Amino acid sequence: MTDDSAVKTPVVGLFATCAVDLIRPAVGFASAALLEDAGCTVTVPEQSCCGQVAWNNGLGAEARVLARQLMAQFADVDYVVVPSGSCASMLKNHYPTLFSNPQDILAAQEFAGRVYELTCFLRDVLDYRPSPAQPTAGNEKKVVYHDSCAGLRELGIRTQPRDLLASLGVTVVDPQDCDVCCGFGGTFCVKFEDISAKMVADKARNIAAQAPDVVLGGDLTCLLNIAGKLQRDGHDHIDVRHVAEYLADATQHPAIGHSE
Amino acid sequence: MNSVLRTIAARLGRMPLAEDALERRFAELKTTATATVAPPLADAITCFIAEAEKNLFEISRHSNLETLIGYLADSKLPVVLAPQASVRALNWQPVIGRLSEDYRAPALGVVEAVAGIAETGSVTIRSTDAPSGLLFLCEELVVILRQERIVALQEELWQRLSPGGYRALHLISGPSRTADVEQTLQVGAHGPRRVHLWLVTENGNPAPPAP
Amino acid sequence: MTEPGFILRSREALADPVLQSAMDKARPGFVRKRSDAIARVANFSELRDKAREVRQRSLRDLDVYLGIFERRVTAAGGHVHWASSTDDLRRIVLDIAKAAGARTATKGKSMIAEEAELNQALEAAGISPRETDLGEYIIQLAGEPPSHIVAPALHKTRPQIADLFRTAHALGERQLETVQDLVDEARRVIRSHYLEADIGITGANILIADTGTMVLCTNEGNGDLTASLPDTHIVTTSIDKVVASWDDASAILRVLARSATGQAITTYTSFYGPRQPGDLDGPSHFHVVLLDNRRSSLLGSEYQEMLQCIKCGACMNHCPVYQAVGGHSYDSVYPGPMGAVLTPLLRGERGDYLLPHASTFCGRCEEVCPVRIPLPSLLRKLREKDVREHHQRGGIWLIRFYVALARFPRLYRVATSALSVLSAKLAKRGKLPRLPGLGAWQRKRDMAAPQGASFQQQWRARRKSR
Repeated sequence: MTDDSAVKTPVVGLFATCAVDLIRPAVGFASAALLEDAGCTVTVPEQSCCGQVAWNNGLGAEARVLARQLMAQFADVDYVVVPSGSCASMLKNHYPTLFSNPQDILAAQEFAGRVYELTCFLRDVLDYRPSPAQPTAGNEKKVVYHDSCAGLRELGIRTQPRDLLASLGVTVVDPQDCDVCCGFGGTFCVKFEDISAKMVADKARNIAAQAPDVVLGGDLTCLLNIAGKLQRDGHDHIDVRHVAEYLADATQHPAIGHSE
Repeated sequence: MNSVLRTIAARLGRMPLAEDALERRFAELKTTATATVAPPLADAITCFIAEAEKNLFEISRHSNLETLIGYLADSKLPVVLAPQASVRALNWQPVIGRLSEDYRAPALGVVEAVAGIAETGSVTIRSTDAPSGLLFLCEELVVILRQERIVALQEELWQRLSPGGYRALHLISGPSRTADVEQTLQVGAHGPRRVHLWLVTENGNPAPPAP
Repeated sequence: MTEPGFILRSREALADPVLQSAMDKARPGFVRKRSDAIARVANFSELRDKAREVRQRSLRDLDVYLGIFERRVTAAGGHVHWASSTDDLRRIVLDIAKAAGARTATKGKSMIAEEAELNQALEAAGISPRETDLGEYIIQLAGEPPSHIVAPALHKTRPQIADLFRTAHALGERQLETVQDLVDEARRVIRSHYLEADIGITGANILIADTGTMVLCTNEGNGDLTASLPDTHIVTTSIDKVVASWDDASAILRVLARSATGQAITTYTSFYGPRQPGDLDGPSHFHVVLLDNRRSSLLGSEYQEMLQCIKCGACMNHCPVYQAVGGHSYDSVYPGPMGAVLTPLLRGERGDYLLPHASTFCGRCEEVCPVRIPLPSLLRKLREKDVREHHQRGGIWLIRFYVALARFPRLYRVATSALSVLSAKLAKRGKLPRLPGLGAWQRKRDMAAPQGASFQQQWRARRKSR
């Protein structure tokens, strides 16, 4: 940590994302725990949707309303941190393109400058290293990391989660065709059900071929998709989690799609 | 003035130019061209040979062209010579019985390239050097290339050659091939099945500039 | 209500084992060849930047470059024709063909000729078109449209091709076992077509304004035999292909073959113009037909960047959707990501507007596009255009409802948490049971149940209890 942070603790507004908020709050708590451990003050402003689903489905006006709302909700924090590559990219890369009038664009650009995806924020901004709760010897789990498309291609996220995991003594393996989309794509998986099913079948098959114990990733929606297919295919012994849960040593609750 | 050009100009927010105004505008625009961006190459000759080998040229190096006659004596195909003075001036007597002018029947063509391009491993032949038909209909081709005529990049070649005066300029990079059947590379699709590159390295004598 | 054509065709394609096997075989090669080729070039990113710059510069003054191109071709003894529509293109080509007394025409691969359905028009006029590109020849025998802009017969397996040849060439019992057998057989048959043809029709990869030159890139040499042997050469191409100079053409060539097939250059890259007095052979007549077909309407619009396309096929080679369903699912000459943009813009049938929705925006297309076309952004704009022009897709009401709710954050928080709590109670061993409305997901995968109250509700509760 820098001297500056000793003087002023960064105030992080955590934007949980709809999927985390509604389906897997554990990711939100794990993210908050990591940020606090890294020396931040975490707030969770009243939030709803970032507007990505509207933007991607041709509803530009609705997307602009939600974007303005979110930027107002997060006006008073130093950083906006998001445990999702696709939602972080929406805020960071796409918000400035939503608008045509110069003031809105400027405001969105200023806002975007404060937005980070979680693993990027921890590694690139805070130079944070999680410390393993237990020695890793004797705990050799085989871990696959799924790089979600938006995080990989729009935010350049690839080394950050791997560096963070390496601090815990975890080395990840990449399955074959690891850079090919899992087929979630928001409403795509509903509108193009059969194509999405093939894409996730390929992804699940390639992951299962590595015989991993754990699959981690930075985007919950991709993970829900992948976990759902792995489990339908009978690979119940593979634990699928958001990387935040692993980094925060918050794996006491069941993995995605599993129960006590 | 045709309606398509008028429409295009209108979409770009203006009236279409004609004649002198058009030529002046084009000359202006040409001055805005930016510098060439090309892959870094080490030595042009080494690069040319490496690329040409990848392109499946069969390459041999010679200090003169007399050895070509001997090589062709073993060919089973009739030999068709491009009507280039440098090619026809060689002593073809030993194979005189095998020379033919018909490249539409299976034949081995002999032609001299005006240049080689190192970055792509290609030889350059114009339709004023050899009939295009000869280059594409022959079963096999022997392409003579003097080493001094190898340039590093395409742009250097465009500067050296005088523009116009020919219908076609061919950059040839090996024998004909296709991958249209199950993406499996197969040589000998329509054009020559084999292309032999006869690389001539003359010690100390620069070749005359390409015509 | 019947399902849209793309949905039906893609479902058929996914269930077609022969097609899937052909795609499985083709896919790794395209990806690996391209990545190997660009790995050998230290500055490929800069080559892409330069290629994009050349294309953008060309479009900014397209009227000037096309005007000069026409002047140079004409001054050299050739002819330039302007086709506003595909009807115009067919009429122009037929007029030239009839004037030449043509009975047979060899054809190099031309996507513009496919777009204009030229073969059908030639046949109707009693002129026999003979495809010479091996992939195009195969699909001509099969009576099918191309499924890829570089490898038109990508969807065909070797046994299927052997069957086609056996029937079309009346081979009787002779077997064509290997790829070599097939290619040799095609060479034999098509050779006679080249020598007999009255006219040759090719496309063009690039047009050069400075000298009135067209550039033709092939590996087979079929384009050159088509262009050089008959007495008339007709080039069917489009208005967006022109660049200023030979140097500009080289900038395009540097990224074209590497992106398409993983080669530094195609085996035959030829620069053609009208015949000159010093030429030793070649056609007496050289005609270039420039097709607009709504491309001009993209100029000055938010879709102008799509005209930068150099037709390399890299986007579809890397698109997981194209790779899953193949080119025929798109029902267009232009499939894959570039087709999903171009087809609604150039043809604009209602079904075409579904194509931009068939994407997860994974971004692989943009990553590999040699001229850096922002394909996902263009697809997204087309979705907006689709909604605006009232081609409403089913289910959009649900999105509208959700975003409307999201505008009331407190109500959103309470309502969504209640839904999560309710769903969590339905959970069986961590998963949701089959529920109406979730079929699209649950038919093929399990759906994890929500953990309970929403994150926001739990966070607030924890804060309060401190």
